Amino acid sequence: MHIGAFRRPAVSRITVVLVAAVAVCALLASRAAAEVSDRQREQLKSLAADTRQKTERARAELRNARAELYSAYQVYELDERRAKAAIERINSAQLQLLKIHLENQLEIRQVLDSSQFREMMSRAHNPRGMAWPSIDDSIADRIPDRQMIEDLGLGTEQKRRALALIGPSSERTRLLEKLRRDTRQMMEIYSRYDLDSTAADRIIESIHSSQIELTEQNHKRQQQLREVLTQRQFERLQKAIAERLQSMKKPRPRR
Amino acid sequence: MLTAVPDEAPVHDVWALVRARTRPRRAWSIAWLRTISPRAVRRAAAFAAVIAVGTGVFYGIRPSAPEIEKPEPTASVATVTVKWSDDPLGQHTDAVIAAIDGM
Repeated sequence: MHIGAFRRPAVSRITVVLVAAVAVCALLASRAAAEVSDRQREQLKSLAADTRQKTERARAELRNARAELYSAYQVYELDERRAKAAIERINSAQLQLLKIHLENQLEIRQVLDSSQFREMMSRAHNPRGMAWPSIDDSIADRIPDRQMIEDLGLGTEQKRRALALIGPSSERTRLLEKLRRDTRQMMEIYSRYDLDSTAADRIIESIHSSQIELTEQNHKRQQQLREVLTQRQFERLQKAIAERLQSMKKPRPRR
Repeated sequence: MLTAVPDEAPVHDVWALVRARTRPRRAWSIAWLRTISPRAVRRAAAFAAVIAVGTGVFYGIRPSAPEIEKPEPTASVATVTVKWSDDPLGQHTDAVIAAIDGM
């Protein structure tokens, strides 16, 4: 029998053990490197609290401005100055939110190194963390619907013009698609440790221009609605919209 | 003989002392009340009673103002909430903050 026949398995066993040991060491080392120190944790918590406060404030302002605009749109005689002021507030709050998100991302990179950042982002993505955004803007496209316009008892020409104003316009669809695309791109930028600030600024600008256009489109549609409908018809439509929204808010009966 | 009595004035003005002791100490309004005749009091009370009854009758019988029909609330929370297009990156930041909170 050859001596090598006995030696080979022993050598390979030693190799396997060594490789495993090195792998375990590397894993432990990477874990240790990704471990966040108490000071870093403190900094992050403070940053999170600050960001939360800022976003809540901006969102509250946005909600108030939207409510103000909604009230302005309830009246047949559209108060342009009031509506424009509310739109300005909405635009400003939207931009502020975009800047808060970017600022937060930059600050996180000031605190964490790349491995710690990756570790934190993986935690943010899983399991119930960041999801792709759900589009709840569709509610504006579904109300008023065709039936609501039919129920107004309009003449043929008037009905044709009113129906042309409901549902998502091709321009609105295009803008929402652009917004979705930009948002995806921005999330990709945010997922990388080496954040490209110039690219981020460019996308923020693009996102905000879409937001402004969407609000302007909505305003134009409100103006056109008043050109087509009489005050009485407009008020009936508003009532129908309010009833529909109320019914949408009611909880569904449990089975 | 009287000429022998020294011509001395009293050290204190006695009448001033008397006035000081007999000055009414109560507040002037209470003193003034004492001057009101019972007849005037009865008249004032009757007048106040008439006013009170008149006021009660006026507000009791007067038809209540017609209630202004309030317009149905048209504003809905659903329309006033922040839309996705208002804050498209909000979910991302919220997830990151939640991850930091869980550290």
